[in-house]
Amino acid sequence: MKILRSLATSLFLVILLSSPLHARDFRNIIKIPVAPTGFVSDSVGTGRTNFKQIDQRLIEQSVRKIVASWNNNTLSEYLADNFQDKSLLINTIRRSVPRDANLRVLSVQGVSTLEQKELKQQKDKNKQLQSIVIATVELQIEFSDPFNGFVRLPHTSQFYLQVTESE
Amino acid sequence: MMLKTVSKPFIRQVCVQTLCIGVFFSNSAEAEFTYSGQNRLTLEYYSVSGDKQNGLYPFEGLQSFDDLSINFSDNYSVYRSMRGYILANVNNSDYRGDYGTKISNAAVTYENGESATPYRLDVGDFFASQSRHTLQRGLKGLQIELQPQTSSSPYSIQLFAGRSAQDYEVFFDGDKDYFFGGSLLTETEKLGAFAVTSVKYHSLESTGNNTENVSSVAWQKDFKFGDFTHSVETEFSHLSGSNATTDNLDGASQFFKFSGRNLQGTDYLVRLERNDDQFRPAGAAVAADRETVDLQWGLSLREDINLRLRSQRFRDNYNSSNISTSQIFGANLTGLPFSSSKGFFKQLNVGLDVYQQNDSDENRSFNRDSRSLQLNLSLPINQQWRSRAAYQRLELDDNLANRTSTRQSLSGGVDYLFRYNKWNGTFSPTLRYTEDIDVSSNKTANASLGFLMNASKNGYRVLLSHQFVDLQASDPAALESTTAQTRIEWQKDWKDHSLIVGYDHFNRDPDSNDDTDSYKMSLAWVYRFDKPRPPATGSISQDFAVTSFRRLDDLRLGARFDGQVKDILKNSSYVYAGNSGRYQLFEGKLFPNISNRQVLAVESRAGSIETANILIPVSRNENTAEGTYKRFLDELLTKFGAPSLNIDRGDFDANWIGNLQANKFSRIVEWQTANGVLRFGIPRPKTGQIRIELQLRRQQPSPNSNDWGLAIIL
Repeated sequence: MKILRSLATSLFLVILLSSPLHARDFRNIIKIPVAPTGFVSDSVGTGRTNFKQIDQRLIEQSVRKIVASWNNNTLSEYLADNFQDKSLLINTIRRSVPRDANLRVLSVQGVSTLEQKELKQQKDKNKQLQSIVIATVELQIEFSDPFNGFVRLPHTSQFYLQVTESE
Repeated sequence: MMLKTVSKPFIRQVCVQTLCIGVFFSNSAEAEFTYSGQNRLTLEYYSVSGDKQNGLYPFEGLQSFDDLSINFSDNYSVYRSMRGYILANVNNSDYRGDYGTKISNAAVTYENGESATPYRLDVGDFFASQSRHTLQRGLKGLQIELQPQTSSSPYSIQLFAGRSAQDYEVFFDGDKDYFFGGSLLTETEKLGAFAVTSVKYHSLESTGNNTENVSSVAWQKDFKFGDFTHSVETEFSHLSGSNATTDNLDGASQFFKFSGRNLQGTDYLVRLERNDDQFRPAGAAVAADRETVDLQWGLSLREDINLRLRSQRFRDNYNSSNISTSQIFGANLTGLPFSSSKGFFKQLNVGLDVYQQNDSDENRSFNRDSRSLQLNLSLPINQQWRSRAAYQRLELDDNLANRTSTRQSLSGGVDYLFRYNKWNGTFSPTLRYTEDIDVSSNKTANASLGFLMNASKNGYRVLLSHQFVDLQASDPAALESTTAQTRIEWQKDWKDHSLIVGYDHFNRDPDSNDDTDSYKMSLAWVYRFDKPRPPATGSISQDFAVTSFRRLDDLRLGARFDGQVKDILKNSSYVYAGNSGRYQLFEGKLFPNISNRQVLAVESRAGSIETANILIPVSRNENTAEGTYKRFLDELLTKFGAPSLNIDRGDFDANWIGNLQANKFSRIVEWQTANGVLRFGIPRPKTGQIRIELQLRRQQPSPNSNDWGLAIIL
């Protein structure tokens, strides 16, 4: 449930970021997150689909690579072109995160597929399967604060991953 | 070729990219249904001795009440959710209105993005926020919003029906009056946003016998020209129907706004508005029979100095033969004018607001000039000390009678942060002198000395304040007196419980009459409950850091609060003005179109942002205070849209401050943002200063009580 709440939060954040630059006197559209085609909500409330499963080991390896890239300043290689405020995030990390800060994966707790579609390549006629996968990851940032000594900040993140599988 | 399943690996190449990263509090437990809330049981004892006619409290003896607030939510899936809240109280106090049990506010919002047409349903309390010219107020009833999925532009259709009622007892009474209507809104990239709105208001004879309909068309578009991003907006509205005075209402309104800003910190605003004398929609937030011209221009003189000029003209009763006009010219300067020097005053923070206003009418029944100067200075000495001073002068000239009255006030004080035997606290003494010279040259003068001290240690909190005022008057009709006001509050937090003990004493000692002592003692037990329990550890927030500051929620709770964030604040016209306890204060303007002082107070813990607050001192005069409150609320509604909670209890009248103290007057509006809950309103003053406050925190205290203001002296 926490996963769902955080996703809603992230979606809400995206909506906020995409609001008009200038405030106006009449109302704005507060967008409702829309379920993709094929999404079926079950009675338990977790939401499920008839999507093809993605190998969890693959996701876990990818998450660890992404976190490693955060530590060695190559995160931009893993961010999608349509990542919201991509350059802003990179600049913020570069500017604001303490230089000795290290991000550590404590665990990858859950992986679920939100969306899936087939892509057909015109050139080589190969098919691709593109999935949007959400991974819940326990992380910890560690750094030395000049006032508070060694600081550990554990938190739970959600990674929205676009997985493209080619034949 | 068919794709194979993962059990028979077919994958030759895999590419993984990150689309989005969201971060939230550490919590391993998953919950189906979550709720949180608190119950506060309060016992109060009032007593007045001496000259009881002049006592503060009209009702003596024991008074009691109980306030309950519950928030709940359930996320059935990523795209389907429900949330709501209930505010209820049991009243056995003469100071809080009618006795009995009441549900004052309750709401459920259900959102479904899984259906063919995504929709949002509000039942109970909701804020009907169509536009300022049609309907903008809290209602109780139903509202549904449909967002049809089209391949082109997003659409939103809202339909609503509801009543404006303080509580559900009033909601179900016989005097029925209703708002109902709807709007269609679409937003396109090329043509901008376009809305059509229609609101019908109907009331029975006992409530005015109105049957009116207000309709509007509105359009807004952003565009770039030069190095500016501009916005143009317009709305045309028409009111028809009947009310108590006419069966043929015919009111019209035209509104036009042109604004823009560039990255160098220059911005402008041109606002033109004209409302007919019959344009008085019951749910609108506009003044009838008024023509408004508002011109504003802001610029950064230097990196740390900002200037704003304004020229405003209001023409009232412009459909009559006697038009009254108010013309205002003002300038506002904030910043660090001596920052380039190396001396002691390098960090002197200056806030200066001056304006001249002329009010007159064509029949020459009045013609007045007002000249105002407000100067606020603050100087951080070091991390522990902050000194502050303020000077205000207001001159009123009656040009017809050729008479002048003057009011001026000078105050100074310091904030001292102390640590003693594991107690952390702030001690803030203040000295103030106020002088009034009326049109007959009679002079009254107040000299006051006061202090505020708050301290905390391991779950204990103590607040102590005292103020002594000496009133001297040259007018023999005025009664010279001294007053002394003391407040002591002790709080102990233990797990989910808090025990709060309060003592208030007010002494008034007139020179020629008996003195009066008013006492109030209070005991409150607060019980908080949550499911699931909130995390014990802190967290970092979504963006790890602050990247801009245009809205208060840009200050990400949990983000590091360091020099770089202060640079961002400086770029947004907010400059450091010293510490007050665990708060770092900054002077500037988050709402540049409003001239009131807007102090930013950031509370940090272990180098991270804990809460972010804007403090706006406001006049005690009911009309001025109401106008200021509405202007800020308008700005917030345009920025954040419809709020999730709106409490609007009591009126701005001559007793509004007394009612605010007694919890009979309440103004609280909340928005749920991706970065905590944003609360706007007027809390009970803790420092004697009446303030509008805007607070961003992860969880807000119960809205049943007015006691949520910050103990900071500005």
